[in-house]
Amino acid sequence: MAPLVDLNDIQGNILRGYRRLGDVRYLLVSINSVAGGRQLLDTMLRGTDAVPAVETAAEWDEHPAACVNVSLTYPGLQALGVSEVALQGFPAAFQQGSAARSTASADETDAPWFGVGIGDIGDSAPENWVIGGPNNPVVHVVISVFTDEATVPARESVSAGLRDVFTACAVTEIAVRDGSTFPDGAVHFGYRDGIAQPQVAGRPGPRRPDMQPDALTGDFLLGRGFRNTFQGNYLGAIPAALGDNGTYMAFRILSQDVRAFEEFIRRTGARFDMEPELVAAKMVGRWRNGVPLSVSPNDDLAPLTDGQLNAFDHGTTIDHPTNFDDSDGARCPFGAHIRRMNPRGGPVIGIQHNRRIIRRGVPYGPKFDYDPAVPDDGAERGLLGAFICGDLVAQFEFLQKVWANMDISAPMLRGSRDPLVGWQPDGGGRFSIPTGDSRGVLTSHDVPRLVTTRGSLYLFMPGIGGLRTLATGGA
Amino acid sequence: MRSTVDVIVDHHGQVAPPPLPTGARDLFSLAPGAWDGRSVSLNSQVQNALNLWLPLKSRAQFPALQALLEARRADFHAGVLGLRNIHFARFLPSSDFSQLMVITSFDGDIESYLMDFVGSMAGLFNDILQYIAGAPPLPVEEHPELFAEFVMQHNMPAKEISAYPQLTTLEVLRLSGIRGNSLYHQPSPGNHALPTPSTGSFG
Repeated sequence: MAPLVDLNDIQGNILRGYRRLGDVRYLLVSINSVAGGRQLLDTMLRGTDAVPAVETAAEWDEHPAACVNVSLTYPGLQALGVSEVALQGFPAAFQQGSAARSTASADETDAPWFGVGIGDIGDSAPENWVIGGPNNPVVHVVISVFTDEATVPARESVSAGLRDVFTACAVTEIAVRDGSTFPDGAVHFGYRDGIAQPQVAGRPGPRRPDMQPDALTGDFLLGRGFRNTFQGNYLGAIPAALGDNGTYMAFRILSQDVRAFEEFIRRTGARFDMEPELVAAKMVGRWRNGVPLSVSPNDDLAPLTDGQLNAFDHGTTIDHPTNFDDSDGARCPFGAHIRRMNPRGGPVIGIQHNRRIIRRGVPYGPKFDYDPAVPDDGAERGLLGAFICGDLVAQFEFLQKVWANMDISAPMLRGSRDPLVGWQPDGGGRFSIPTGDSRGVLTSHDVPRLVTTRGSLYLFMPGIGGLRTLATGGA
Repeated sequence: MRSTVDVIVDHHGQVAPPPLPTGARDLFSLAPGAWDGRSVSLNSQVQNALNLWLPLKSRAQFPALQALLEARRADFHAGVLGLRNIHFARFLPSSDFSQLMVITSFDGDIESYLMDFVGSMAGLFNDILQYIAGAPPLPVEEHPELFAEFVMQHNMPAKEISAYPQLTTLEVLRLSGIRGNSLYHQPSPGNHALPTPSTGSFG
């Protein structure tokens, strides 16, 4: 069947990840003139001898050595001279930007034990950010360069080429962030990541085994013809020439406290007479090798291929009526990270199989091998996260606010937040492990805050046609 | 956080609900107790009221609107069952048939789940709003922000007084022994795992 989407008009890394390119460099740029900004985009669309043209979603015969993509903030669109009519077509959340949205959501709270918005409070508050906060330079353009440094090092050569372009276009490089996937494919906390990506209808490539239905194209791509889960589409009032085949991205710099995680699973394991690795699996919903608890509740030895790691559900479904019904969370707790953030066919309020998001995360900072006898190295480490969706409020912010940081969306969550990415109160938060046996529900009350927001930007990732429209001043 | 006591809204010339008598305010402000001392539960998460006062373009159209609601009752019921956060919903006419009141109790905050209501009750809101004065642009799914603004303007929030103020719909269903796949599907005729409306849409 012919694809539903025009792969040549969609930027790469949306519908598929650059799996073989485990290294990324993000270059953050500000535009100093309309002409310079447009020249930058025009050059990137064409490419140079040193910089490949913006990568699309089109199939390739040979994997490129480097894939380059471009996204823009709302101030970036303004700096490019986009008309006021077109600008006002963008959703309010994108116009306001990540820092303002985080601050506003935190302001909704009456007290710390009430809602925490999307969780960017305390150390995670925008005033403490290194990128995107009120104390940081305004970012207009984010350029990502994915490479495989171990096999075909190209990061520096492409960066040098880009910097020549920056000079020619008189744009200013504000910051650089590098990330590299570890050799075993894991990220910090020692887990394989990025397994459960939505399979978007019309995407390229074969369909992987997955008990979840394909995500609707309109949940991830803008375009009048793309229907989203709410029966509408997210193009809104954006001119089609600018918005078609575009999407949004929350670019997040997330610091991760690996030592606190390792100490928590050991402490909790000792308290509950449980192997620390099982505690970790209960928190995440998977073993570190990616095997889901719902398939293999006792160990990580289930003989699953990589392609089978996402072929599971927490309950019975119409298509899988005999699937194990984990309605009590005895295998995978309702509070486990992957169950909170994607409840699949399990009990949840609202439309099922909704609020999906594409995650392109790459770790930054040195790998941390926990040894209680060795003091912390003090290095910052975490994740450069690109969270891609058709609507930042309905998808990214909903996940952060409702599913990660509130507690009624599914059973047995009361009084807790996501143990991995949720905000936690002083003294620690709550996490419950239903055992399904005479031990009942084991509850820890000292979950530390493991992830801290260090920076965040709301980005628009236009289609190729949209980039061309911006480059020619047609919007 | 928004007050759930100050219920007076009057935006853009729309019909405002009548003010609550002073003595009733304390009654309406009764809030369910906190889940427990360590809870992060928000009182405002559980059993919120969505009380829409929708002025008709013409009261002469009320019979047609009533017929629509009767005809679409099954769709509405299926939507309520599918979302698992609506405790109940009913439509009521004002005494002079100039307004339609949509009375519901639901879990969660309205901003987060409003579009779930729209998405699960395909077209129902659009059909109703054709009869409503000052309706937002239709179809609402194409203009979610304006629809949300319209709902906020026409909502008269009030705290529920409930026999089970701490329970969500999902928890009630689980306590009723309804589990797994049956949480998501309307019971087949003759197998009423869930209660079905015993009266029409009005009442």
